[in-house]
Amino acid sequence: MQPIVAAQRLTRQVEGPAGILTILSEVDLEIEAGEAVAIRGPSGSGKSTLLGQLAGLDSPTRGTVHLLGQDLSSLDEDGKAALRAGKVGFVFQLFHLLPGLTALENVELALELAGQGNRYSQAAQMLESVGLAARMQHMPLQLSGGEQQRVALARAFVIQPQVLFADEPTGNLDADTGEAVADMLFTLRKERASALVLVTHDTALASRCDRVLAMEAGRLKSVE
Amino acid sequence: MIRAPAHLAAFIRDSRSGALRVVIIALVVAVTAVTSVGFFTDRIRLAMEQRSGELLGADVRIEASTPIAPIYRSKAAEDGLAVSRQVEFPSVILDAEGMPKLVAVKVVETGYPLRGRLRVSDQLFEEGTETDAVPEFGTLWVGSTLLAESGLQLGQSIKLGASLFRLARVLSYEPDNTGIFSQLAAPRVMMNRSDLEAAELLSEASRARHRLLIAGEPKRVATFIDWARERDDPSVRIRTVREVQPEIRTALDRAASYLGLASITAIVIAGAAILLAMRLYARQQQDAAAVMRCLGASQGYVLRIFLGRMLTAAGLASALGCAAGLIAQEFLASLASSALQVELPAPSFRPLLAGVIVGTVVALGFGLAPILSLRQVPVLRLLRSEHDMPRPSSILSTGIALAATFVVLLWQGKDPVLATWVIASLLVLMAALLTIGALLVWFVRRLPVRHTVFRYALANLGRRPGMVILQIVALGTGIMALLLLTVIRVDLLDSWQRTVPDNAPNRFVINIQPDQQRGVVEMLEEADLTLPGIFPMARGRLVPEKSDGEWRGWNSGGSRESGEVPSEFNLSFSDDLPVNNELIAGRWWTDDPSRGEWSLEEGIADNLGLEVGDTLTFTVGENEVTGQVSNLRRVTWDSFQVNFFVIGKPSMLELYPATYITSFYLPDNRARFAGDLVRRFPGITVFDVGALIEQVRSIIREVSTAVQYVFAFTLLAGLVVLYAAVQTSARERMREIAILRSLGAKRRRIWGTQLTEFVLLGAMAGLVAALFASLAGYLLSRNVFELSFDPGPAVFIYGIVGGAVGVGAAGLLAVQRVVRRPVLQSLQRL
Repeated sequence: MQPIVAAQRLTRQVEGPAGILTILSEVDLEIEAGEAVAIRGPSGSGKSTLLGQLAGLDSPTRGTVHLLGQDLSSLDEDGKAALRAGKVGFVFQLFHLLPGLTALENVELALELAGQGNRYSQAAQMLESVGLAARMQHMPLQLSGGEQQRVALARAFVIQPQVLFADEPTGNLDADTGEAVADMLFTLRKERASALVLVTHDTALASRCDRVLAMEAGRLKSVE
Repeated sequence: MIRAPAHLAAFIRDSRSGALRVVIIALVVAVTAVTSVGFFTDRIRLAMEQRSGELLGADVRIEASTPIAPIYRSKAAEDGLAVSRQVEFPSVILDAEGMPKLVAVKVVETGYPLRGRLRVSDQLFEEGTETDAVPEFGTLWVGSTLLAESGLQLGQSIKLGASLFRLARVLSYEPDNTGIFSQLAAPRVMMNRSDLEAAELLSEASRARHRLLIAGEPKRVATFIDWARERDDPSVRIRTVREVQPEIRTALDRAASYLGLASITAIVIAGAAILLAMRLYARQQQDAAAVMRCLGASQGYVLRIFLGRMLTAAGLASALGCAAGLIAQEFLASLASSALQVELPAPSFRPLLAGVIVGTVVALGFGLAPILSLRQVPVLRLLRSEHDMPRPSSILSTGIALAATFVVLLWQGKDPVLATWVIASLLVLMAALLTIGALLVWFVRRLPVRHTVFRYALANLGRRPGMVILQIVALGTGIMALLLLTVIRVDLLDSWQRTVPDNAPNRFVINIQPDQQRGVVEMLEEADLTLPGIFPMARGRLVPEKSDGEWRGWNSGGSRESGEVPSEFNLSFSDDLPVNNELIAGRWWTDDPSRGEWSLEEGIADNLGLEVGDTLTFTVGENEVTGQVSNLRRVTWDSFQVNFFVIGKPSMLELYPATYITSFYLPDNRARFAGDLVRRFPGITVFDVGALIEQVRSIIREVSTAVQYVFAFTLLAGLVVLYAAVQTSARERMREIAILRSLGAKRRRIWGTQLTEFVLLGAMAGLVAALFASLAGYLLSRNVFELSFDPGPAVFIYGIVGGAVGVGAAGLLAVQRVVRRPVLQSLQRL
């Protein structure tokens, strides 16, 4: 079966004050459909950069990335966006809800961009499943951090994504709230059989994935 | 898209944030300025058309030197138009001492005037009361001047032609007999048409002007004019309401220029605020755009969303601005209606459309570039916040903004000269502001300062040079507007008011014979009355000339405004260029006395289709006088000095018979002097243009006030720019202040640093603003308003001190909440 995400000899370099800085070096990676993979590593190891590359949010200096069977280098920015629409979900450390839209409208937006109909009932149902039925009309700033992240989960899963990219999803939450959000994330993923690419430095969270990889100075290696 | 109400709700929530609110306020200011000036000038235009009708006494007038063919009258009547016949000719009466006195007889019939109303009185020089009547059979109505100069009394009977008439009323006002040029005639005597035949005043040889007055519903009038023109009848001339007095027209044209300038300034300054605020808004919306892109939105989708919000803001602001403009114009109109002595008609709704279009064009022009950048926001910023959207291209931003301004200018003002000037000035201004801003920042960063507060403030300025230069540009533009408003405007308006000085000549004396010239001058000098000069004047008839297969230089009468030219001219000659005249093309006379040369007023040259170097011939007496056009002059018509359309080289004209013309200022308490002058020099005519001068003065005075109110919009726009400029760096400041305070910095030190930075920024912007306000004032006064203006040093003091104090205060006001707020709260808000 074709991997849902695949990177070959992926390298990312940037120009810094001290010359060229290599953030990712010759990374090879394959993630199968429905598989959950954690990428662990200390700050500055390049794990978020790798996530961005795999999701098509940035372009590599060298190497290739295939997402959902499509070579990302053959697509322009709008092409990559179209590929993500309806098939790829995201959860960020800083939640990144649109501050001008209500919780419900934030979830509806993902459905709209996926070109799906019946948005109101789908979004409302999704918010209900993350326990926010009473908070649908609230603005993001009126919600706690945990609630905002639950809205972000609802937004990510409402489109039934084939793959979900999560960047430190519990990094901005206290331990208990983080635990609850993580439970929700893994439950929803399982229900929808979505592949998961999870970036975290939380060992416990990473251990809930099928496979754990470690980033060190831009290089990727398997753990256990 | 998600439901439209959701986007509208998102827009409303966005508008609560500072940036979009600034955009809306700036747009409201711009649209209010445009609509109030639009409504106002529209009403003035309508009033002037109405007034022009009064000046003709009709909507259209058919004129001829022989009786007008009856077909014109019957056709007009057939078209359902009102008609009234009129004849005007010179005649002679005997004054109280039995001396002959030249009078201008006007024969009218019931219905006259068809537009405007006559005013009559029983007293001399009274305002009189309006009447719809005309002189009764056997009676005359006469002008005050005639009674004053002749010694005749009301009720007395005089002989005119073969009949005896009773002097029944004093004619105080004839709507179709105002203005200098129409008053270049003898005193008025008005009689009823039914008396004309019996008085035997007209013969075939009489020099009479026959007129047919026509008025009615505009469409029918237009159809009649077309019909009359199609007849191509060389014996008649068709005068329409497009002609008005040049003096008042000039004053109103200047007023329109001032008002146009004021509203354009408000638009451009508001545009600067929109530019700043939209950049800030786009920066604030980067995450939102990145999330949309991350979720699969195309660049087009992002553009549509934010463009939609911007256009919603433009629509909302336009509606608010139009409403405010409607209210503001009422006030402006009340000022103008008293100056013009007319009730201003209700405005048309065109300015409302103008308001909406200007609001949209300005919003797009100044706000589009940041929105275009927003669609290119890197999605990666959701993982790493240092990834910003590309900066809006300066060339693109400037290009779109200038294009929008040009479109607005052309559409609004229809004055390509002014539009080109504004665009050129803006380009130069921006380039210069950027250069000077960069130089100032460079200089300030190198100042050797030891004091920590100063050092930190200077370091702050140096740390974000791009933002500081942008702020200098924006603040400089705002302060420049304020300086134009407070200092330059006063000087400009003063210069304008000086064009009609207190002692502007209010009496014109014509028909002075060569042998009377010395005596008139002596009598005026003995009476301590200054006269600007006494000028020779000969009548010349233009000889048409065929050029490129088309006859030019021929038109049976007309005026500057109508694009027509008279066939008879008052030709003067002079060795020197007259005062109040400016040479705009060619050169003054050559030394060769045998070479014929003419000097033409620019407007008449344009109407005649003549340029420097062309040949022009007049019949003077029995002879033809030919010369080349040596130069073109610009004449200050509203100066009330004696001016000529055509001046010849003395060697060409001095041999021909000429009379002289002069003007002088006669104080009100010495009005009798004019009568003395006429008695001593029989045959000369003195006429009074005091009322006209007062009217022009009153227009200048009231319109100056109106202009000041419109400039207040510029002031408002300037303040919005100040606010927007401070807002652009508010977030960075908030972060810095919170961090400094968390590290233990005392409030006093923070205040000191912030104040120093703002004061320096304000002073730099003020210096740049003063420089450009002076330059703008100088260029505008010379090239647009044709006035002299010398900027003084005060503008620099106001600019630098005002900038420092204003920006210092505005800046502190903006950061005071952050300084006072508990540190944790500030950090949480970031």
